[in-house]
Amino acid sequence: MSMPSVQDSFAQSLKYETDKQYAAAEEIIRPLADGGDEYAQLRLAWLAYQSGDYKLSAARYQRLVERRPTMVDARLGFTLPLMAQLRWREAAAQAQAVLAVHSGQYMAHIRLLACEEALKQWDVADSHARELAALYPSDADVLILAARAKAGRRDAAEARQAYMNVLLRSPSNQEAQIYLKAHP
Amino acid sequence: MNAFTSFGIVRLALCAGLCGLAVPCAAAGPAEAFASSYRLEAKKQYVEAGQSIEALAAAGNELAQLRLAWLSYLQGKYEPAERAYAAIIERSPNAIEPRLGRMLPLMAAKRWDDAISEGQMVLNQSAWDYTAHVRLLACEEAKGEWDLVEKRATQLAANFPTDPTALVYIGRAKAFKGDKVAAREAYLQVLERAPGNAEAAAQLKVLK
Repeated sequence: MSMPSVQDSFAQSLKYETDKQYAAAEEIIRPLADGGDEYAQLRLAWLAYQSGDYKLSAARYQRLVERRPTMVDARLGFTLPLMAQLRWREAAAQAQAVLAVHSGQYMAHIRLLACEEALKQWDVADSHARELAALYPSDADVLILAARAKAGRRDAAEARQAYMNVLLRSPSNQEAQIYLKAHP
Repeated sequence: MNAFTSFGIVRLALCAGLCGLAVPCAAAGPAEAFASSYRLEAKKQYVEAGQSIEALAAAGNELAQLRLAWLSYLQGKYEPAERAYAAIIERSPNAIEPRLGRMLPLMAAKRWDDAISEGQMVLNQSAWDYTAHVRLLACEEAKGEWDLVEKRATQLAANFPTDPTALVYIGRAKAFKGDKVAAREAYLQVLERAPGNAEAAAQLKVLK
């Protein structure tokens, strides 16, 4: 039987992932990752995260980050298993490392904001979200994080306003609807 | 009380009785006006989607102004869309969204150099804004600047190795420059990331 091509291996891995068969998705590309294929290594880290093995995922991302410290994909990926383990400060450090090299990277800002929120750094999160909302005025995600920061600071009036602004951008947003009902 | 709310109350008094129309007036409240605008946009009723938030935009609501610019673009009214984005940029020069937005009607009007200038303004502020890079790639490709395309796409691919888009541009640049082997390699990598990519599949048949 002939070996599957690299493309076939990845295509099959992506199919398995869609079916949530993460072990199979990993198995089929492991030889490629072992052979030094960086994309396969990134996928292994991602698949470990998807299967809920956060420690393994973090270890895999860490190896990639050590080899290629400026690669955005690896550092952003690394934030996910760290956040899933509630290792907020380490995740924030990874997001900040992305921003140090790639200023303005949107996803790094969003993940950093999520970490600031988890660490209850409400003033930092509030000012961070305000800066980001000025850059992306139609973005609902930023406003949700801004609203949470306002709520965290016990500023119900401003939190209400922020959640109302969320609904202007995303009319069916559940979090905003629930907050506005609870804080009439 | 915020500008939305006070404006809504005034409009409510003026427009009572009109809100059963197909295009709700802003008097129903900004939230309903925006919700209606999104629904109409989803049905490709771009004129009506714009009408439902026109009053809010006129009153200075920046989100409504951004949406009107976007809805003009969707209607194919590239000059008004470009002007609308430019007006927002003038008022909020640091915002990234209107600059990314302005690139679209400029590109649609084939004003590649103007679109490139706007993209570079975004990068001055946010050096790795992915959308700006991808739009710049499209502009450089349209101008036939294949060396620039290849360089930018290679940098993007190095930073985002899981992303097939940058690899598609590398494939195009290599193919245009006659480097069939490298073009094939790039398109094969596209298929690793996006197995159904039609361009890669077609090019791999041609590039033998």
